[in-house]
Amino acid sequence: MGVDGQRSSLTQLRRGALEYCVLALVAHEERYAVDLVHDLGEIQALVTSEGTLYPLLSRLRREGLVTTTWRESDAGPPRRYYRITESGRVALRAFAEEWTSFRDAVDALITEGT
Amino acid sequence: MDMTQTDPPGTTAINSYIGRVDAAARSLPPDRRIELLDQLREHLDAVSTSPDATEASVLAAIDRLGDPAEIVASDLDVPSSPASGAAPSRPGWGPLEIIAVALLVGGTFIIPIVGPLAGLVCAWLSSAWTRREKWIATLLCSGPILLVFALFLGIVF
Repeated sequence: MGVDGQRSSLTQLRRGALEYCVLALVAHEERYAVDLVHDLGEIQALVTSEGTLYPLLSRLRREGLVTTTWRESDAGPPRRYYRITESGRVALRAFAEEWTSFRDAVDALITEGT
Repeated sequence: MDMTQTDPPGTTAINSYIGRVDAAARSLPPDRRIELLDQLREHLDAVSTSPDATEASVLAAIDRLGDPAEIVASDLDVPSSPASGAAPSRPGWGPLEIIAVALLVGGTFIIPIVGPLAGLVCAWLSSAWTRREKWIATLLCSGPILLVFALFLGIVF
């Protein structure tokens, strides 16, 4: 596996985990899209550019894992808020379980190998 | 008319950025393109209308959003459903696939009919090709054999 292959498999890994991180962030309260994207953008290990989060949010909405609500704001245009749905919760719970065993297995092998 | 008096800071930069995303997003389905443009404009409008907004803060926000081409590519790349996960990647070629192709191409010169048939068996055992591809290979390879068989029957009877 060359450097390019390594980068692309890391990108895939990041992308796969990221959508569940988004679900986790909207699991407890609804979040204003701009704040949500800004907070996620701060985590550089996960997000390469904030703009790529919007297509991800749209996809989660199309798949019924999050819903959007428009709310009036004191100043400026209405704001788009995201909230997890019941099937989003189910997906997040399933991922959380898988992730723990996945992470432990990879950790164990990588620690052994390096 | 002096626009800078009324427009929030960075308006020109925002419009130019949205224009670049719009151009990059031509490959997207119309509803997704419109949604993406709305989201990004909403994001930048929120930055530019915040009380402490400056031209510099808007430019920094644009920078953090990133390259329009990268954003659009991420919209196209994403798997269609998280439930089904990413499309399974295709296994690469191993000895089985090389033997299959070698027999399909040259097998007839070693043992006619049996050579290509062995190649087909290898091809069907392999997971590197889809069922559809295997059927195409089977029809293409067995076509001449069936033709020869039909001619043979025609001569005998």
